[in-house]
Amino acid sequence: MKKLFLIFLFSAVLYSSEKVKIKELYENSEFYNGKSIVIEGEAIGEKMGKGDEIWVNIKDEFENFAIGVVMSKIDIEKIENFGRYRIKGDIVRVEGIYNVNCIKHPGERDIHAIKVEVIKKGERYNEELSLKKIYLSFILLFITVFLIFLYHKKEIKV
Amino acid sequence: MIPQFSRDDLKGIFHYTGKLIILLGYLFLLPLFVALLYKEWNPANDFIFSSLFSLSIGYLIVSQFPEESDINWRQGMTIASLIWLIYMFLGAIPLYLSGHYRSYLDSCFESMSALATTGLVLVNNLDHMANSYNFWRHFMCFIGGQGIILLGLLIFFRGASASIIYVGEAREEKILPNVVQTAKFIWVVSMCYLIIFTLILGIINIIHSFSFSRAFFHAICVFMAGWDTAGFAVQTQNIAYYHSPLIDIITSLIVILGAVSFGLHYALWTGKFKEIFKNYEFKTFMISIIFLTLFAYIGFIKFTKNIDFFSSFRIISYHIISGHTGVGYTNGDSFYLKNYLPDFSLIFLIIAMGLGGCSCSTSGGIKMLRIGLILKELKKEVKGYSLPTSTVIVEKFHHIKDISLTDTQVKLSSIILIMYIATYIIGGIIGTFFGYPFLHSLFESTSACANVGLSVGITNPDMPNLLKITYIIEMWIGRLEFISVFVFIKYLISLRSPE
Repeated sequence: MKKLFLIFLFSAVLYSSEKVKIKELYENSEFYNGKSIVIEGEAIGEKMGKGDEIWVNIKDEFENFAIGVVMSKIDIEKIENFGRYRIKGDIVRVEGIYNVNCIKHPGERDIHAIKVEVIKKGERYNEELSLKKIYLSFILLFITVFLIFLYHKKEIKV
Repeated sequence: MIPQFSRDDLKGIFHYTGKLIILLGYLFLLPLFVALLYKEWNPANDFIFSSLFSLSIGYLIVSQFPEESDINWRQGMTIASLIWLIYMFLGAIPLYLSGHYRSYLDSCFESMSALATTGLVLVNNLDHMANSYNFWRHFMCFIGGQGIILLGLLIFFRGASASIIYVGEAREEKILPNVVQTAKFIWVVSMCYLIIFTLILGIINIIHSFSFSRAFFHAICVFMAGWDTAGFAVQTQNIAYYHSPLIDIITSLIVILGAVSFGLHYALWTGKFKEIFKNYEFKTFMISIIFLTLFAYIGFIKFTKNIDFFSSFRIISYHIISGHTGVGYTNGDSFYLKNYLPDFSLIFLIIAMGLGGCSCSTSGGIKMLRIGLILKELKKEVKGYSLPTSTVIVEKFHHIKDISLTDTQVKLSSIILIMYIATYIIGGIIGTFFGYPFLHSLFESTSACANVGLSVGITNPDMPNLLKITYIIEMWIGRLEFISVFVFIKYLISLRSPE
């Protein structure tokens, strides 16, 4: 009976989860505090910590806002790519409880994940070399060498 | 009447400015090395371009003004002011080429913010920035915090010219008899701390499961921005990215060390450990941190619900230390300061930012020695009224050595205090012109002028251009402590009226 109740409660929490933007979470922290919410964003940087409590920072795909999510080892294994230079991180959907001031992690504003799923795989990408810039650097190289020569010639005279 | 600038003045100014630009050209080689190390080819080309561009300008100037001569006060002050603007424009080139900034103005803002060790940012998508660009952002903090002129002192300036130009960059204290030796000492201390704290932070990051390369890259960047009280970070979330109270503690220690006078560092390095308990400025600094934390904390507890003791203490103490030292590191975010910090606490945070760290440190703001001297003068005045009029009162304080308080010291401290407060308020008023609430505008203006970098969210790429320019000017004059900038402005005016 108790188990059934817990399953019902858990489902109710999941059902009531609201999809929010990270900026919205920050702007209306008091409203969302302690509630179950859903965020979507890119996993960035690296996973931090060990055991069954691992931190991952999730960044809004289009805005400069990110938030720390605490998730289990099983969930973290779903994420393969963490965004950084030349790597587009996995886009994940995190369902969890939002805390303005987490009791478990004093001073942290975080989300304790209940469910994590990767909705879009990230990938590595290569940067395209700009030939225009390279030509410009070559021209500048000749100018600089000429000016250095000119300077040393004048310096000897002085 | 202030004498006009002559053609000879111009020669000296251009010669040394050119040399300092050449120095920047060579400084670009360090991020270039980082770019090559991480095989970041496009950024590598951008650093080659920036380096060559700076070198060509520098050599062009020195080839036109090749004569080396001793410089006078006017020239020294003008060079000190001018070179910071030139470094801002040139330092912004690779940032702009990175594509992480909306405009060249935004990259100039970031460049000045780094050089002046402010820490306000306009960068977009920092989390995907190439390591070499990110390294350049932090390295600029290091160059600016140590002092562009201070670096030049080791290479170009000698004799009387060295002493003059040293003061031009808002440093009055000579730790050693010779300013070149002082510059060497400051660099040696900084390099030693760099090694120690990069190791500590790197090891903590490895324990937190960072890869070896990322752990030490983060460590060196966090140290450079922390020690030089700039407050830049490798990721968008600043120090909150690490979710680590231990990182909070270590960074707090770094920033306090950065905000302490190099004179005190010298005393400690030479085994005079008692100086830490006797130094008047350091004591004032510590008392100020404790009381401001306490007041801000009381306000936080009174007005903010649902926050436990440890959470609020971690946030409040970190922000007061961050604000007071002028670093601007945050373990929260701008929304936290804006929405969660009651006005009562915000006011104490503004005071902490405005006061700043110790004199002859990498920190900005009014500086605790000046505040201490004004308090001493106040005490002297009060004492004077309770004693017979014929009594001569001599007020003394201990700052490396016992010093008697003089009217000149008090006068200079008061002038600087008034200039800072006026600039904080003017910046605040300009902010209200763009529709921001006065307290928030005052917060942001103080943060810019005192070179702190904490933000209540006004500073972002969408803010009006005029406000960006206002903050750039505030960061510049705040870093140089007004006088040299005023001399520079006088120089510009004299160019318009050559008679």
